[in-house]
Amino acid sequence: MQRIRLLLVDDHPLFREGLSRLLASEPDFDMVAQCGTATEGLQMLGRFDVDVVLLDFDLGVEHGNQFISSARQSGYAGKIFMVTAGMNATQSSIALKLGASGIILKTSSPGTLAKAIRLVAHGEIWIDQKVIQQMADRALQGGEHVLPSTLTEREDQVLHGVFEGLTNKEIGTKIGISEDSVKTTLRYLFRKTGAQTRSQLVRIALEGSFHTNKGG
Amino acid sequence: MGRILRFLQKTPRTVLTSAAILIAVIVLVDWRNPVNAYFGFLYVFPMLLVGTILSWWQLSLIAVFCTILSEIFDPFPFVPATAVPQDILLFIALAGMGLFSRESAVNRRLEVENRRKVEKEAAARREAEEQLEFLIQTSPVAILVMSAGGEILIANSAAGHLFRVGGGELVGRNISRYIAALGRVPSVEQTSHTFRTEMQGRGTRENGDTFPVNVFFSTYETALGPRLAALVVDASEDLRDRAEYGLEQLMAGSRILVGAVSHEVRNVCSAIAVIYENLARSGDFGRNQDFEALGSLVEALKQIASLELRKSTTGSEAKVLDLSEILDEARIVLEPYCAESDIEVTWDIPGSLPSVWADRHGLLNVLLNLAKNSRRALEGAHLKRIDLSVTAEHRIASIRFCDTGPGLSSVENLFEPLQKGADATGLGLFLSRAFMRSFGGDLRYDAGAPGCCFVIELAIAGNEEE
Repeated sequence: MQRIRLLLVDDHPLFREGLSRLLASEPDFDMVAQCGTATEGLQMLGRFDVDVVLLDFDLGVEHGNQFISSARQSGYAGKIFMVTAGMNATQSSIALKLGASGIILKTSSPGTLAKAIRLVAHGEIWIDQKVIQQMADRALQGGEHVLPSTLTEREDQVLHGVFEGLTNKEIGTKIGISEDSVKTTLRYLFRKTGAQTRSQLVRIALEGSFHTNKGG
Repeated sequence: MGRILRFLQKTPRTVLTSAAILIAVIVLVDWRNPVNAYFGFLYVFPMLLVGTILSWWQLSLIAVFCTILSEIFDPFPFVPATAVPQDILLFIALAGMGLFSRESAVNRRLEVENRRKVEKEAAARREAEEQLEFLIQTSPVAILVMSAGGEILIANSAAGHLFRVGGGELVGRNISRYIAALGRVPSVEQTSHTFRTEMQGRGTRENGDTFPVNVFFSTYETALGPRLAALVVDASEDLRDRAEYGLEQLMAGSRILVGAVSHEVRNVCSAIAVIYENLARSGDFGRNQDFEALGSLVEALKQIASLELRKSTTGSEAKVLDLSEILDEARIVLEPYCAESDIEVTWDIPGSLPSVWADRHGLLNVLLNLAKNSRRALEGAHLKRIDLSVTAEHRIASIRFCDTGPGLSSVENLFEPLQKGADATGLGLFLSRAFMRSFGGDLRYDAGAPGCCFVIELAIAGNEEE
């Protein structure tokens, strides 16, 4: 049976030591080295043959994605498996884009971790369900951001109410919607523009940041 | 007379020609006159004419000239005893008439000029008043002018709208009824101080509803008595917006803090869980109930610390923002803050910067936190400077924040919370990085630079499809 050679890069000594001993007890794993920084990890890659790098994202002043870039640039062609306490959707996307073969959370059970390492070593991709959920949510939010400068008809009406100096209630009465709907629309306008107040919103609108749907 | 003078003023050459012709006619009459009569007094008329345009010495010369002509062409023989006094009297009469005419013409001219000036000023004032009235009436801000007793003298339509009072009915009422604080402003008669300031207060509408107002007001004196002018803005909407925004920021900040702490707890839990598993596999603890309970406790803690992972976002919501604009705001915040400690701040910012994904409030907080750290580090430094520079390449906009302080002795645990020896709370860099990562950016330390140098990285907007 061909053993899977592992390198563990994690800045948390207790976790690193514990996981090393745990994985070393698996019959098909060979823990060739472990270290706490990206720099040391890159040195280890030059010194040992490694099939899978188990990589934490947070490495003190460095982060895992920097390690992946450097490792790929230095010619490392093996697998890199993120073992992390948590990464946000952007970080996960970048890690996968840079060449990570998967992401697993440290909170996963040891059995799941061992199973995932084996799959990754054999060329599969393993991404934790929570990470997938985060990326999917972010993709949906990103979809809303694709056209931040385009206003819907209602946003346009509300914005014009703000231009006229009307209160939320007056805007609602004028365009036939509730005050709460006006507030919701305004909140969305604030989110789109980064404005915190009506006066900031007016300025941003006048600077031509918006394109209305009806040319108003 | 006025018409003649206006004509003469416009054509001095005509005046001179007319006077010359008149003199010639008088000379002719005097010379050819068969009657033995004296016509020297007729020279008064050309003198009146030239008096409108000539100076006093020119008039004197012409008076002399006319006197000589009169003496030459009058029918009486020249007898010095009678002719000399007569000529002197004639000269005085002619010169006097010329000067009188001149004085009248000058006064007339001045009067005309003054009238024109007054008419021009009146027209300009009328125009300014019309514009001012238009400005006041169309202003979205409520504008009010009060007498010393608080009686409203002028109120625009926005003021009526603000206080829910019908057109023009505000005039004559007392301002204390609508903004009590304004009613207490002393007039320039009551105090030596004049006011030119703003205040936040509470307004009352006609129906009794109260609302927050921002009032910009000034006191001044007029010919009709002391006045108080005020611009009043309804702050209700802004107050609500700010409160809601503040709550959002609080929640976002709390989520980031909880997320960052949970992250650390998960790390420790994971380490304990791994060690627990190792112990379990060793078989030393067998069916020890305390050992099994410990496993359950670790698992429970792990579950609690993982709650935050179930949320799709960990904190701030990234927006597409103009990086130049954020840096302008940062300049407004940082420069006075650093100037208090004699720290020079240099900005190396390209003229054109891309939009980035960021949270305005979060990014400003991170910059302010770095500035606070630098201020502490530069306390004993000989050269006190912070250099900020911005570059944008490879889909990343980088803000380098470097100070000329002594630098960091150890960077190993720089971004860890509650470090030993941290000068302040020990959470600043930990939270700053968490903030940056919450909207897809990053904060890193540049160990290669002199002093202490951090790099803020932001994703450039518009490259999502790549």
